[in-house]
Amino acid sequence: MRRGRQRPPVIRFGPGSETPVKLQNDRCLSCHEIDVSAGWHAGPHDTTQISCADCHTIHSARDPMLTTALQPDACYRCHVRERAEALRPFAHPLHEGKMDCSACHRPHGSSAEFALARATVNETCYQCHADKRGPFLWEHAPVAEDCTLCHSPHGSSQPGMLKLRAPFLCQSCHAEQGHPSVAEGSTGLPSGTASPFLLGQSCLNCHSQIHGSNHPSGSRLMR
Amino acid sequence: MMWPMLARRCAARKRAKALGPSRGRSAQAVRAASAGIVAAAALWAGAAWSQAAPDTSEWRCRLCPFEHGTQAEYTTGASYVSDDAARFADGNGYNRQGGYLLAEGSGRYVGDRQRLTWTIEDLGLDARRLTLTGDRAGALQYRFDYRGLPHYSFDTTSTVFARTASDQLTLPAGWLRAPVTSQMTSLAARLRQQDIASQRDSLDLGVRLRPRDSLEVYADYQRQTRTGTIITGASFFNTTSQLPAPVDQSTDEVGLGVRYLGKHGTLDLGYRGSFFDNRLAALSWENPFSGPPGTERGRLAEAPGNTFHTVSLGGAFHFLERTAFTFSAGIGRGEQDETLLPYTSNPQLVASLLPRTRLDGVVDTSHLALTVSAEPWERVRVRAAYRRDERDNRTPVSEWNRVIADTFGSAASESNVAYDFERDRFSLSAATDLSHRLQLSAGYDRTSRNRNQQEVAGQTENGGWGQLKWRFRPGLELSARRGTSRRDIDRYDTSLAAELLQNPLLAKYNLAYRFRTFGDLTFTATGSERPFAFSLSAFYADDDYAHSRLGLTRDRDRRLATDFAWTFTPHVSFFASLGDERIDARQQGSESFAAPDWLAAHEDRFRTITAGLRLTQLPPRFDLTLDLGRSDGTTTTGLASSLGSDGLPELRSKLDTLRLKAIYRRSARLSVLIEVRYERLRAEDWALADVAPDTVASLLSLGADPYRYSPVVLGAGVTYRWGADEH
Repeated sequence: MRRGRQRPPVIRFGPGSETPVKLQNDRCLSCHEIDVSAGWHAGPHDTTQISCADCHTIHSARDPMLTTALQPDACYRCHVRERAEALRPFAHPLHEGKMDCSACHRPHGSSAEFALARATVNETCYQCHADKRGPFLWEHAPVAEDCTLCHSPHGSSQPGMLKLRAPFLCQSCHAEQGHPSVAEGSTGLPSGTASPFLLGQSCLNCHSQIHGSNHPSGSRLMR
Repeated sequence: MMWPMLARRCAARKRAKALGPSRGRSAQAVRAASAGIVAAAALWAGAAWSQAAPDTSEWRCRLCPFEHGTQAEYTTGASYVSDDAARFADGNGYNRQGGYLLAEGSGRYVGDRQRLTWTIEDLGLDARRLTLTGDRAGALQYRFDYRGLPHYSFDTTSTVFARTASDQLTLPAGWLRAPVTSQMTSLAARLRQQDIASQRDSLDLGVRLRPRDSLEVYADYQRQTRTGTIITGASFFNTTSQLPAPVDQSTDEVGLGVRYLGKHGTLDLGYRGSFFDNRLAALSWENPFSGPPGTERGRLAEAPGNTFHTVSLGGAFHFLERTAFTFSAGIGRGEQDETLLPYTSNPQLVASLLPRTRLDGVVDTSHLALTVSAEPWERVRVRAAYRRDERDNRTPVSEWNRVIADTFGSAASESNVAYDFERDRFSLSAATDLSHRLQLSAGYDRTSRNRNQQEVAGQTENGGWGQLKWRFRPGLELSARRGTSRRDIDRYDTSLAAELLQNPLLAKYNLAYRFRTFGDLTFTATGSERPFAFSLSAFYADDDYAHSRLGLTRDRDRRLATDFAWTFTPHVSFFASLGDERIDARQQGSESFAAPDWLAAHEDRFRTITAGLRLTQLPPRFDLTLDLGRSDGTTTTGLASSLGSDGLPELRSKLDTLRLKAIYRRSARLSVLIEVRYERLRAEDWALADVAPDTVASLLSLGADPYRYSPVVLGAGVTYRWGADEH
């Protein structure tokens, strides 16, 4: 540096730094642009001014963001609602340290909604649940469109990570003549009439192929 | 103050030397990691430019470990689980009482031009994992990743069905069919325990080749297998059985691509193929209930084998200073052409011929995304994005004459429906720094959906939001956001609903008109002297389906969460979090197939508390990690109907967890560890409580019990380290 010229400020990385985020990230991207690929500039973390060092620990033998068991805790620092959801009784095994957020999301950004790993919600879910992909002879319309219409992928109090317990979830969309939408109350419990519409798997006791059926007689998703 | 800076510079030099040519990826990573340090060192160098360069050859960095050669640590020992508890083992593999091998480790090798890292996790459990990643002078990266993931659902289930062939479930010899479960005289004697559990194993291989700094070619292969037993309902019109259905599936996925990094942007061209194979195309079972002739056996179709191929092209460009343009475009094709089963397995029924013996199912998908982010003025950021997703189901449509539950034929034929949709999303947002402490942002979103064959063909949602972030003091920030959106529909086609025999007053919640308001308030505080972080956030979202008479009518979501983490000293840190969520939903139904005659009010309440303590070298040679958690969830369902008010008992789950790990470092190489894990779950679930296999007259269930367990896992092991620790 020439004498008399003002020194550039020292770049400080990470949370609480007064160095503009863009300046911090440009320094990292000067080497890692090809790693984060095109998604970074389309993703939410760039838009919301998250610096690389907000998440990554660079002076460490093991960056928590690159360790399956530790990554979720790093994400939960900001995504506090998802932390609570992951602790619900029915959730993906993040709490067990066997799955991380980046199994479904691309924290470096993607063009998909919610920075998903694949183009759509369903394509992301099909990475592990390809048995639900079809195409089936008999499709269940919401299944083909968006898994999150019925499921809460970050965790739920209901089995199967459903948004609502059957039969009520199903009754939100189905009230068929000859198969009426009955208010299944406590009379359907074992102490009463023990209703097959309420107990066990409720509607799925019969309509087990709820994600679609490939049986020629499976239009009601029972085969 | 000068010495640490010199030491860092020393480390950067030595590391760069150790990792070989600067064009290598590892060296790039090092450059990035130490960029700030180098900058600081450069400043120092500038200030001291006139001084003679010191001899740094003997300097040793006292801040960062300097890697060279092999370093590894392996732990071996044993653990003991006090009780059988399937649900507790979900994800971790401790499903049975008894002893387990404790084996894990990790290591890395750093040579002049090569770096290898490996990990071994839970080798003695079904949840084991082995990874190996390598980096050869930045020009070649490769990885191997094997992992097992057990999914345990129930070990309290029992059945009379036995798997006599890969796709057949049979009843015990001499089984006497009966019209209702209570008359199945041989049931109690023939029940045998059947765990409901499956195992997912995945093998992931990948290679990244970088012939030039600007070019990367990659190839990935993944194979997932899933085997085990799940619960499947299997009905004969008015009776049904829960089957312990076998699962034997695999998915192979191949990814190939090339990335190019140019002066003004990046390009990424990729292909991905996914191949799902189900070795069980169908499942047949013997009917335990008596019924019309020919209903002694039923058969259902399993998930069909299918393939899905996608080709995508994405890129990011910087045409102008402070302006980035990104795009992504992709097309996909899914195919499924499994041989179809006959209409029925009932030999008494004369079923018509199938209109086709294979489905020849084809679904085409396409995606297009464009994003422009720019800073047109100082401290003003603008982002505009457009995204289009399309699903075009080209599966042939035919007329089918179904047999209802293998029991009797249907009077009318029906066509399969190939669902299509188009979804367009446009969003525009802007953020401005009103001052270095105050940031204002706002956005507008518009989503339109078009569907075929559904009650609502066109749907448009418009929404807007605003957010204010106020950093009122360094380390203290308050953020508030609020927004609304309204989802309008062109019309709810009741004629289509009537064709499907649906109540015309019903409005499906994903199709219905909806007005949503949402907002959140977040306060964060961070300190740097004795690092701490505190956050408190409140969130709400209200959905009103004001035009829906039947179906979901409203949904309220309230959440409160707080986080606190404090590093008292370099040796002691503590964290805690609390969460409180409440979700209320209302729905209306009609038993009389007319106007609403019942209302259900659902309330989900969930509270969580977690806390943790980390002690490092306190007392000397002693590390301790302690994690505690409690989550308490309740779901209440209140019902009000024309027959009076009723409701269901509370669904409840109360989970307490404790995990403790203590390490005593006997020497630099040898340490001893003790692990304790305790978990207690008490669930109350009316769907399972007191439901034995014969409780429901028309349902032969597996009799699963609500989850109640409290196992303790005790583990002890020895860790040995190899390799030098240079500091």
